[in-house]
Amino acid sequence: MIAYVARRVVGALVLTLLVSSMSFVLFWVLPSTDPATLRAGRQATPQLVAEIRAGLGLNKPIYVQYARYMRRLVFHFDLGYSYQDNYSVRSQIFSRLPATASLAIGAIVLWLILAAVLGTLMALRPGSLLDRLLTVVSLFFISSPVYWLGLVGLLLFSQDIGLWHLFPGAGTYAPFSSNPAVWASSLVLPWIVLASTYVAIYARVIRTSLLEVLGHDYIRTARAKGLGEFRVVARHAYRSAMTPIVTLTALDLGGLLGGVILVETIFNIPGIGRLAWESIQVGDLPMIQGTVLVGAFFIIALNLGADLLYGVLDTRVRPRRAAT
Amino acid sequence: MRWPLVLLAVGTAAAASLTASSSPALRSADAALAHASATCSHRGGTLTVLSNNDVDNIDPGISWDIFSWTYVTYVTQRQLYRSDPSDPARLIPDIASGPPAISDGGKTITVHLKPNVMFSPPVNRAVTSADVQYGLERGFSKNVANPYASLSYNLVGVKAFTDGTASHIAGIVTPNTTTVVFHLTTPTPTAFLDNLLNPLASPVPADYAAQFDKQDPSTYGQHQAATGPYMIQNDSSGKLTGYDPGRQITLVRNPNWNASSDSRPACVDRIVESLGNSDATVASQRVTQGSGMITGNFEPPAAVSEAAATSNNGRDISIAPTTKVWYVSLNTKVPPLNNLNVRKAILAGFDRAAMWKVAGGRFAGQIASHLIPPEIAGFAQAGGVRGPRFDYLSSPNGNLALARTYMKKAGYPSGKYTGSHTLLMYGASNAPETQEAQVIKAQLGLLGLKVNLKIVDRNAMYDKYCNVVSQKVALCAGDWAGVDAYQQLYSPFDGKAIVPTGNSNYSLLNDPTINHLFDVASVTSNTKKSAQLYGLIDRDIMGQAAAIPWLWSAHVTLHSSDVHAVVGGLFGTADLTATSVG
Amino acid sequence: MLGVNEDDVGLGDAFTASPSLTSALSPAALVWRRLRRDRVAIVALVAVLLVTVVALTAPLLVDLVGAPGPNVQNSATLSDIGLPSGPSSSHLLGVDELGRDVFSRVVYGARISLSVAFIATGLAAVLGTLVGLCAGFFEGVVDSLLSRTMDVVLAFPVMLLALGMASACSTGKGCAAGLVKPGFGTVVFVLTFAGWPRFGRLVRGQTLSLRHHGFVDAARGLGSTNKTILFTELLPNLVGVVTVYATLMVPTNILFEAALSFLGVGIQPPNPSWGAMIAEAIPVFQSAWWFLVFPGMALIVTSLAFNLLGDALTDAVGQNQ
Repeated sequence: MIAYVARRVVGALVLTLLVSSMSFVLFWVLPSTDPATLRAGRQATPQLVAEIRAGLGLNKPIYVQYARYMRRLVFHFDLGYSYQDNYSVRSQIFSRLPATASLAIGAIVLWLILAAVLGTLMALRPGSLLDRLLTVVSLFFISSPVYWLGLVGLLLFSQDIGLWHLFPGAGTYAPFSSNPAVWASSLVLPWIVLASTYVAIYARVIRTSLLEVLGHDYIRTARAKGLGEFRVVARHAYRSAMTPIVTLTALDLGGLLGGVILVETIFNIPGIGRLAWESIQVGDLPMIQGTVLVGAFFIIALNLGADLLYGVLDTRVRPRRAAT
Repeated sequence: MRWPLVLLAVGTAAAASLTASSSPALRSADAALAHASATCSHRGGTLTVLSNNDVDNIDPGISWDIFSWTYVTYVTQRQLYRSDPSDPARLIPDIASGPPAISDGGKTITVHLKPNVMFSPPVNRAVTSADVQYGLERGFSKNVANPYASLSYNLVGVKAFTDGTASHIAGIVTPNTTTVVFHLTTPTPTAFLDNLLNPLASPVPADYAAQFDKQDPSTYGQHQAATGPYMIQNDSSGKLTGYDPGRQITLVRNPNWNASSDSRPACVDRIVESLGNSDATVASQRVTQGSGMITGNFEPPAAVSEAAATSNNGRDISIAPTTKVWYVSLNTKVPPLNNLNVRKAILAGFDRAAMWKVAGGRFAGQIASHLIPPEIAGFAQAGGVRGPRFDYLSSPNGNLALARTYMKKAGYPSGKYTGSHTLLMYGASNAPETQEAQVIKAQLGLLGLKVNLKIVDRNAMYDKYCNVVSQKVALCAGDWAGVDAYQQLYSPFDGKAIVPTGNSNYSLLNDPTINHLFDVASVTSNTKKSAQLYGLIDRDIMGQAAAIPWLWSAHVTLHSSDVHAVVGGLFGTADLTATSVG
Repeated sequence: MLGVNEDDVGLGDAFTASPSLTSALSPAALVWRRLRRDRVAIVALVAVLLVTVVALTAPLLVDLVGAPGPNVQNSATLSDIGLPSGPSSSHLLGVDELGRDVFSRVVYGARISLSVAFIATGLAAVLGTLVGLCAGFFEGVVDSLLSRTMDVVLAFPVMLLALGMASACSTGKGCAAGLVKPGFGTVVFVLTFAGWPRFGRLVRGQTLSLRHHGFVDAARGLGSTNKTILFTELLPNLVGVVTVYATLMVPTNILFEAALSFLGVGIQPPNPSWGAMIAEAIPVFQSAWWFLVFPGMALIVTSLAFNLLGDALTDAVGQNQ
């Protein structure tokens, strides 16, 4: 067990290192525009550009730049400074983290609950009209662009421009610390929109797992003992359905971040996704790179967590060398 | 957005004689301001301003974005002079106690300061001449690096100061605490005084600011002091607590502000600037449906403006003309645009009305027929609304038949371009400029001209492409604003203004006659003659078909029904120091 | 057929087992048979073919309907403050904010969406298959190296990565010294980059499992070279899985490209991309709902069709991932 944990943690660290290196290549080496010119902005006299190049260390050989970049990153967690307004990338990202976390976690909770309910219904009555209907609806939502859903959602349900005035419109987000009621109500529509893509998939996963489990002997025994249907399902079936859910959630985090960017843009929520989008509008590479790195870091960390959790949940799993 | 740096010309008659315009919804700046009383309809309350992005820089000595000036800097900072709200062409004293004394053939300007203009906490003292000196000097220092300092202030001794051989700029002298004397290198007092309106000329307390200006880059912005009726909320040490970058700026009353030293009404108690409202429709609707709100630095979408104009008696919308002119520069050195007849063909066939519609129709402004806007002297002389009487300017909807005739004259017998050159064009990535760029491409396509359109970020469009001569950009669509005709026309169309980088003469126009006319006009002090000369220059530029003018823009401000908005000035924006809530 | 119960939605071996042992039909024919019986799959297949045909014959279709081209602007269809007019007899699906015909743009948009998605998916499939084959076949150090690379790419949050790359490559002359230009090129590059490791992992897994089935040893025993084994034994058996996965990846790529264009870093204007059209609709969508709704529906229908088809293929081929 210790060995398993240790291997996983080391693996995650190595991965983080590799991701940072790749990020360096992507944002410093590949683009054919000079970062110094970008940073020099309006008064780009050749002299100023040269000064900035020297300041950024761009006139040094690439391996020196790389070493500098990695050292800053690893030891100081310094993600550099924005081209736009010279603010520390790290502080900007962290100040916007709560909004993104609110959105992402809320959506995850929502879709897990909904998926559990729907998946159960579908599993209890496989092949029924409900099952088939839900399957089609699921696929519809998987195939829909999340930003389109958001816009249509606003068009139908928002208090300022919608047909039915149900939810606050875009731009009404307030942090939890300042106004919990507004925080919650402004996030309901974004949560629904973001969760809708995933409810579909997860409901089907739960359905499949439950169907599989419901056929097992120990379930039949429990039924024979006279336990209510729901308790049977709840006690035994969900526990083993958990493992694929945990794994899947960890894997879906990457995609979730993408959805978060789109939803934050539509609903004007000041999170990291919006920050990334705004930075892209103005070509603020350090900021874009910072958000990519932080995003990757979280995904690796959460995947590690999921792996460890998986190891705990299902002690039958010993890391097999075969297909991952 | 682009604009030159100087604001007003002292003594130039405001040419606010709006001839019968095609858009009755436009009120002249004068009329609007006549309604603006120097008293408030209600004192107190909070005004919320919705803008779509942050200030470019919170430090008044570094910021160059006009909306940052309008909505933040001019609310918290005072300068020696400011433009008279009821007559934007006039300068009235703000920190100065009276008009400037000009001597020495126009090379020396003496200004006396009011003794009771106070800095906000924690500085807590009166503004002195040393503060005026420091405010200007810091702009030339490396850690502040103001973008327009060297262009706007032709003071004696700047070079020695920037070289480090002098500790002060010799051209700013402070004989006592309430007097400042400026020595200029050339006799251009008018231009210099205009430049004293820029935020860099706001006084900065040296004793307090020096420690922050030692940092590279300077951190004074995060600790700035205010002289205006409002200040950015800060803590007892002076550090800003009211600036949440990208999200909000909170302005509160400056407790040390002396109403007796200032003609600004300062009605509201608090101003909350909400930043990052990127969805213009949503933001506009929040404003009209909410209370205590007003739109800031963006143009509301035409649909929302129309809704506002037709409801509540149109009281929630104010449209004010601006001095911003939108045109498409044609690079006269790039084939086939180097052929005058091709350029005339383009002008003849161009559907300016379509561009105007796409930009928002009457809410965007008026269709332009030449380069000097209605607010500026020289407008009537250049042909007024109808413009110079060239046949290729006569139909705003475009005249394709005439265009083909010109193409034939240019040597393309079919009436369409058949050569192999592609025209390189850059467009800004924000709406509606992206759409406008596509209209331009399509319009030129009707004449067989192929346009290679690249959409990039707005700042990059200028800084990296349009402003760099070697990029050989054929078409550059943008706006330009000036306080007078000289500013409106000189940098974009005088051959002497062409520089390899940071160039604004995108047409690379270098016509000896026009250049000479500029030389003569810039030293003419007679306002009538000056207007005539600039009218002539405008006509000549149109005669060279160096650009396609298409909009004299207006600015639309929407506000909640409980807000009494005062708009005006050169950019038709809301004056937050005179607007009231309730 | 002999000895095979076609109603058996068999797990796993429909394509790996040597066909002559279990059925007189080839694996492909078997799949087709199963597919034919699934009504939803047939509808999906028809839809996919329809969309492809629309994309291929866009100019013809537009001419047929009598609509103007996708880039023809007509300011007469705009109100005097620039608001577009809706569906009418002259413009089936209305016009957009520049007076361009929405039907035309939706049809031409299909071209762009499908070509980007097909090319990117194809490239990702080829690259991923090659890498996965090598990793699964050679194992050891080669496998470690290649797997780690795939892990690294997969660890990146795909949307952020795509946005970052698209942004970095859209300033100036593009990336990699001008090889990757803004617009179509960048989008294909980004989608391929994000997609190949998924194919890689899949193929690697399948290759490893095939090895454990004894294929490789048997072939070696017969004296085949590595190259022969790779290409004649392993590859044909992977085609099924890769095809199914590709069918499922196409709609992901369609939506991905649309999202990139929506955010402004994908296909450059004035080229019609469904995602970009949705973005353009935002300022006016309350009054001009048509050019928000129609491109959106086009995206949904196309992507749904591919998803349904992919789902059905998965069932037919017998793999339940």
